This record gives sequence, C-alpha cells and structure tokens, in this order.
Amino acid sequence: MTNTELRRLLLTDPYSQHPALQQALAQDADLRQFAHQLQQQQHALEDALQIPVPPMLAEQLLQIPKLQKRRWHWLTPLALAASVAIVSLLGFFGYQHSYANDIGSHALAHVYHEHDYLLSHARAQPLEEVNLKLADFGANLQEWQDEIIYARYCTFQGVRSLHLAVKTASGYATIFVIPKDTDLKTTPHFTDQHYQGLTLAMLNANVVVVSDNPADLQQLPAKLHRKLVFSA
Amino acid sequence: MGSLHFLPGRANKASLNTTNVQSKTAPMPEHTNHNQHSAAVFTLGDSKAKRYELLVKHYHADLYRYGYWLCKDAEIAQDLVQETFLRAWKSLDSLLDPHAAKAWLITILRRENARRFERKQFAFDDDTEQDSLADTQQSSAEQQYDNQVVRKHLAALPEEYREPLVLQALGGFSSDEIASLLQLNVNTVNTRLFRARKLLRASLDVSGERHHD
Repeated sequence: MTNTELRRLLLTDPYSQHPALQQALAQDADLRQFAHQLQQQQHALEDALQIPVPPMLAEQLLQIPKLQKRRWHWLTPLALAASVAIVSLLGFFGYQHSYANDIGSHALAHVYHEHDYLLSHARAQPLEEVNLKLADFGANLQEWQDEIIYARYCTFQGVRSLHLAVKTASGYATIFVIPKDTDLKTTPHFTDQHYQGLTLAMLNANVVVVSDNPADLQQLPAKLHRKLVFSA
Repeated sequence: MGSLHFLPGRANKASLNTTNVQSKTAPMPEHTNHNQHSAAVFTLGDSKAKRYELLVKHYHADLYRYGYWLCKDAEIAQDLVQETFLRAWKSLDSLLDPHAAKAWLITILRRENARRFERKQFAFDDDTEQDSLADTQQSSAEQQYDNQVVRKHLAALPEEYREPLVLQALGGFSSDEIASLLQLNVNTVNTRLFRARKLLRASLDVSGERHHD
C-alpha cells in the first residue's frame, strides 16, 4: 500500500485496524503523527456533534402511544363540540364559584393548561434570564443547580406571577411565584388524582410547588428556602 | 458568537430516491437484517409499550442529534423525531431484529426528512436559522468555543459528505452499515468519508483555529 493510500485509509476511518496500516504505523513516525492528528479531530468532532437535546423530548415521545389510543369516530367532532360547550359553561361557573379563592386549584389549573405546551416547548433556561424575571418579584435564585426548563409569566386572578418548571428525576416539577397581593386563599397542601402541591409563604410572595412525584415535594421546598432569596 | 452563514442545504438525492419506493407504513428495511451493529435494548418478548419505551430512552437523543445535523434546525429536528417515533410506534411489530433498532429508526427519520422536501410543508430557509447552532451548554468556555468552530465547519460541509460523517462519528456505524443506510456503494461511502474529513481538516487548518502539532 502506498503512503497516499494509507493516508486515505486514515481519512476514511482514523481508527482503522487494517493490517497494512497497523504495520506501516509501527514503522513510520510521520504517518503516526498524521493518524494522531486525525484522531484528535475525530474527538473534537464527536464532542461538537453532542448538541443539547430538548429537556422534555423523551417525555413528549412517551406520550405518543397514549395519544394514539384515542380512536376517532364519525360522531367525534359533534361530541367534542358538545363537550367543549358543556365544559366551558361548567368551567366558567366552577371558576366563578368554587375555584376562585383557592391558590392550589388555580395552580393545578395552570399546570394542566400548560402541560402539553411545556412538553413541546421546554428549553434549558439560563439562570441569568430566570433571575431577570424573578427580579420583578424582588427574588433571586442563588447557586441554583437544577435545570430550569420553562419560565413564563402567568396570572393568578389577574395578579402577574411567574410559572417555572424544573427538570427532575421523574419528569418535571412546577414552581409558581405568586405575589401576596392576590385575594386567593392560601392552601398549604393540595392534591388531586395526578398531582400534589404545597404553598411556601415566603417574604414577598407565595411560592407554590406542584408535581406528580411526591419525592419532588420532599426535596424542592428545602432547596427553595435556601436558594430563592427575596430582597426586603 | 457571530452570525454564521451556510449554503442552502441540498436535497439528499439518495434519500429522495429511496423514499419513492418505500411504503408509508415504514416496514422493516431489508438491509438492516444484516445489521448487527447495536446492542439489543429490548427483547421480542417485551410488550409493545415496553419495547417502545426502551427505544425512546436509548435512542431519542441520538435521533434528535442526527435529525439536527440533517436539517440544521432545532425545531425541525424535534418535529422529525416526533414523526419518527410516531411511525415507529405504528409499525413497531415489524421490527423483528432488536439489534437493528437504531438503524431502523434512522431509516424512518431519513424518510421523514425526505418527505419534508416532497411536501414542502416547512418553509425552511437555511440562511435564517443559524441561532440554534449557538445553543450549547458546555462546562468550559474554551471547549464551547472549540465546539462552535467545529460545528460551523461541519454545518458548512455539503450534505452528501456531512451525513456519512455524522453517521460514523455520532451513530458509530461502520462504512458497510452506512452504505446500507444510505443505499450507496461502500466505496462511495468511503470516498465521501475521506473527502468530508479532508474538507473539515482543511477548513479548520485554514481558519487557524485548531492545531494539533
């Protein structure tokens, strides 16, 4: 094999185990140097290819079989329209009468409402940007390590609040920062068939944590007490 | 980093040609019968839901990254991965060789990417979608800079050279396996790998950004 052919072999695969190449490498220092350079470049290439993956992509993909199970029937559009009308009416009256004063029910409604959007739009949020948003509430996250994947303003009965989501071992947990000037009744603990939540009364705001994994409600409150700092 | 500019991506002729003869239900590609590349992540005795879950857990990140390097756009890559796994779920029972799962998924994703050009559903302009390349989280600023430089040159490679290189460096596929996946002659694959690496090496050397002497 000529030197050109050997170099071509290395350019095709820097880790080629071709016997002729291995033999030549043992004898030719220049060729070894060339192989070394290509292997370094291969390392750089492998690193560069590892672009960040959207944080909730796996969870989003795992929903696909569940969504596929919902079969469509010719009556479906009609049934959907009727359901939407009924739910809207019930929801409106329910919202007016039973949910309006309860911070936990509001938080759960927000979590359900944003769930699908969050799965497809979750992105790693730089801490500086989250802190810019938290600054509106006189708050700051210090030395926060957990990955924040969602940070949007929302309203709790007309009061501007912040909706955060952090990646956890089992999916994600939601954290709301709600100024204390709402008329909502605080609920220290709340739960439904999917989620559990609790409210932390902090200096300027109520901080609500919601998750479908009880372990998140064990670990996040302590972290928030330590790292979510409010200025007086 | 400054703005990056790429040449508009070329439609991949290999994938477009193969797509026309593929059925829509994504049957098991014949060539993957010989592919013993990947370790099996499931057994055929697992339930369909379990097999699907294992495929997602093991391959979603590589599939996303591969899709990203095909289209160079984070949003489109996410859509491609979703379409890929939707089709994978629908035709999962046709995947009879657990070792071929990764190649099977890549074949589906390539087909979905080709359909994107056929339907022209996404009004995608390479020149305006560069921001996603800057999206990275590395531990050191130097490493981050190095990655950006390599990404910029990799993205500028013609697609016919970039794709086999990505399959080799990201997917860990051999030349024979890449030839099967891309439905090309193995000599053609080797030539493209050789040229890709030569072009990449030349562009990195010219820009003076990496020297390993």
